[in-house]
Amino acid sequence: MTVLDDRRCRGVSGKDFLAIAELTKDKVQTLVEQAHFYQRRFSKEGVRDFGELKGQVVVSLFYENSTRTRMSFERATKLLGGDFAYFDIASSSVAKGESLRDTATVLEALGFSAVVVRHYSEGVSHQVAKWLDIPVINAGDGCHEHPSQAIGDLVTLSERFGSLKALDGLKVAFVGDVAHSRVARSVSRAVALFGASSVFVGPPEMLPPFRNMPVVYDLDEVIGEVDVLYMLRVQQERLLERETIDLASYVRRFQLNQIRSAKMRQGGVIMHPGPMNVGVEVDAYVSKSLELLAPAQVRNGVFGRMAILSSLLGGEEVA
Amino acid sequence: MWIRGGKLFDGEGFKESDLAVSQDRIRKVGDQETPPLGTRVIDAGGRYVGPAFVDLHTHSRTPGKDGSETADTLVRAAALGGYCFMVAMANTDPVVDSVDLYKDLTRSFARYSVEVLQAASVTKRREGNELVDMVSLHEAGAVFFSDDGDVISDARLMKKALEYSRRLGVIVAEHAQDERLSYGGVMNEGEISSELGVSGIPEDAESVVVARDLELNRVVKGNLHLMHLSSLGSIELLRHARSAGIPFSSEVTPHHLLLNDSELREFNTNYKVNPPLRSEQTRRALLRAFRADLFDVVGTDHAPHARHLKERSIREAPFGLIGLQSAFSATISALVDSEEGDMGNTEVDTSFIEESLALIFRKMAVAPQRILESVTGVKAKVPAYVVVDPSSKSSLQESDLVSMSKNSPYIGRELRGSVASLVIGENVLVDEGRLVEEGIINAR
Ligand SMILES: [Zn+2]
Repeated sequence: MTVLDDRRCRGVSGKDFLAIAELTKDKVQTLVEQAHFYQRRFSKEGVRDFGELKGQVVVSLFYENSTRTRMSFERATKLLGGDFAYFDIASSSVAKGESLRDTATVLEALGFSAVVVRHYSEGVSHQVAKWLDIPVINAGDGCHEHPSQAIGDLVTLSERFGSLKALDGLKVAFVGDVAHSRVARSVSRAVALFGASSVFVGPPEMLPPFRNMPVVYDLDEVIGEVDVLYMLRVQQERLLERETIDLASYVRRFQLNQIRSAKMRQGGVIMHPGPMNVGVEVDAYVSKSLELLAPAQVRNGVFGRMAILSSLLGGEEVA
Repeated sequence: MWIRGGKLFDGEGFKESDLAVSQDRIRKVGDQETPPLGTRVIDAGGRYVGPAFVDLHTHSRTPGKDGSETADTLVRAAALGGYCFMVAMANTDPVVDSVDLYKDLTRSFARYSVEVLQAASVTKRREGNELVDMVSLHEAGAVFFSDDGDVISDARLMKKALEYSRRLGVIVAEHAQDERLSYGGVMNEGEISSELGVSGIPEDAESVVVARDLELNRVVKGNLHLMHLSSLGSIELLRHARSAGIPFSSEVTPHHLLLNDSELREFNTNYKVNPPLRSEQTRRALLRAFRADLFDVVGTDHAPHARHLKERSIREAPFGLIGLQSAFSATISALVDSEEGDMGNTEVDTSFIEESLALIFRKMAVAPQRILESVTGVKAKVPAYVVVDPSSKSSLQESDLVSMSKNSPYIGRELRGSVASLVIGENVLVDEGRLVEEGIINAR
């Protein structure tokens, strides 16, 4: 079928960092190892300037607010010795209806080294990557992917379980609005590369309509069987859009609380991409639990992003 | 005007025969005849000759959206696609819901050799609340009514419109899509949309409305035309309706026959179209149903959008793709090259190509003319013919597109088939694949 198939191989080039689904295991492993390298030198040797991005300026183009992700990229860029700039959407001509392409083209013309894109629509970083010659990094596109989160989470998981190899055979449960979760898409694809399996837990209206993947409608059914409970952030405004489910019923069935967490497997861990809605997807007890890796996820997110930036903009491989 | 040296479509297959075309008639020319002095002769060079194409589904963008298409660019795109006649949808700005606007547009389109039949909307401002004055519009000449772009949600209004369609002898064309089931959707709901996290439009959003309309028409027996069908459920419903004797006519588009939802993997907004490109399984079912004669016509749903509109995110970009200029190539490619196995890579035998080509002439020229004429009495004013080459392959370049908008899903894609010539009465509009400017404006 020449008509349909010979375009399939286009699209994925080494220029950008767009989606875990487009990366090989080797590539992801290299990024995680590089992140571990930065982490070691940062905490053991106290290195604060790695110098790799000297003279380079990374710019963020965020159509959706996310102070955390933006600051993580900023921190990563600066630790590598680069500079970081923001493109302020609200006060720019974007507000006046300038096309996505025109905006992106301006950033390239201004001479930035790379652009970090966050958008409420799926695929925007892919579109920008096709229009620009400079590297594009996806910092979250709609409900599609959040690949830099996944690299950081792999760093956290390999730290906790000893190595990336140790992920082989682990079971991960993603709990919440899976259908709209870019984190679930990216992280499940990332852990799958290293042999971990995923199960998706939520009410039917929060699971993707076509599921060639294991789904469970009851958290209690799987809580004792999984090694990682990945609690997704509940978008309360999204919950309100749905006529068929209310917050109280969601909390009753899917909140990870003190009583439920007691049923977790020995050695099991809890993850959360942050920011947490305490009282919704987790209760106050779980939010302070030692099994909750959220603080490590934030820390390692920076090292993961350093590895991504370095792979796109750095000179020689340092690892 | 003579067309010599071609294989002429005779309703079933092809026979070598020359053709004399004039403003009011056509006739086959005998072997021994020579053209009278001064006759313009088109050399078909062994290619195929058949009736020029008729599109019951074009978005002209006139009035109100001349940044996306003008009448001038529209008719040129149509001509290069081999079209002599098209029906322009009413979802313009303002909506064509009044006699005055209908008449204005009809007058302004009359200067072109390519005929443009202006449709009127079914409801005022296409808001779905109140029927237009179908009687007065019909008196003014309107014979095609559609709210296309939107469904007619209110079953009672739809039933009324069908009743009028029967009484007046006009067509009511439906964009079958339940508004609630398709709410917020961007692409086909399926494995790919789940994978990409993109909000989906399920096939049943279409089928439930098809079921409703067929049921209404079982009772009313009006002139229901179901546009751009794209679901397995619709196929089943049409089969059933046909065997039950429920009157309807139906349309499928070239893009639903050729492309599937995996194209959206690259987030190219030129593949964002409504109804959406479906799964490969559904695409193949549509193709089989097309071969099995279930769809009456191929309609392009030519929907130009200016570049800045399509250079938005997949959520924000408007639905629609341009299709007039590429309809023949896309459809013959779907029929010949997109089926099981590696047929596209091997030599395809002539009889298979001719069979596919005959189907195309029936669905893109004969049937749309017949439906229009049998329901409304309207037909193309002048006989028109195309010369096509179903075998040559080429890859479409953006610079080849004469539509004002360039939102074609086929840019850079190798397709089979080309339109060599278009003759409308005494006017040659396309010669050896090139526009003939003098032919565009109707001299008479
Ligand atoms: Zn439509």
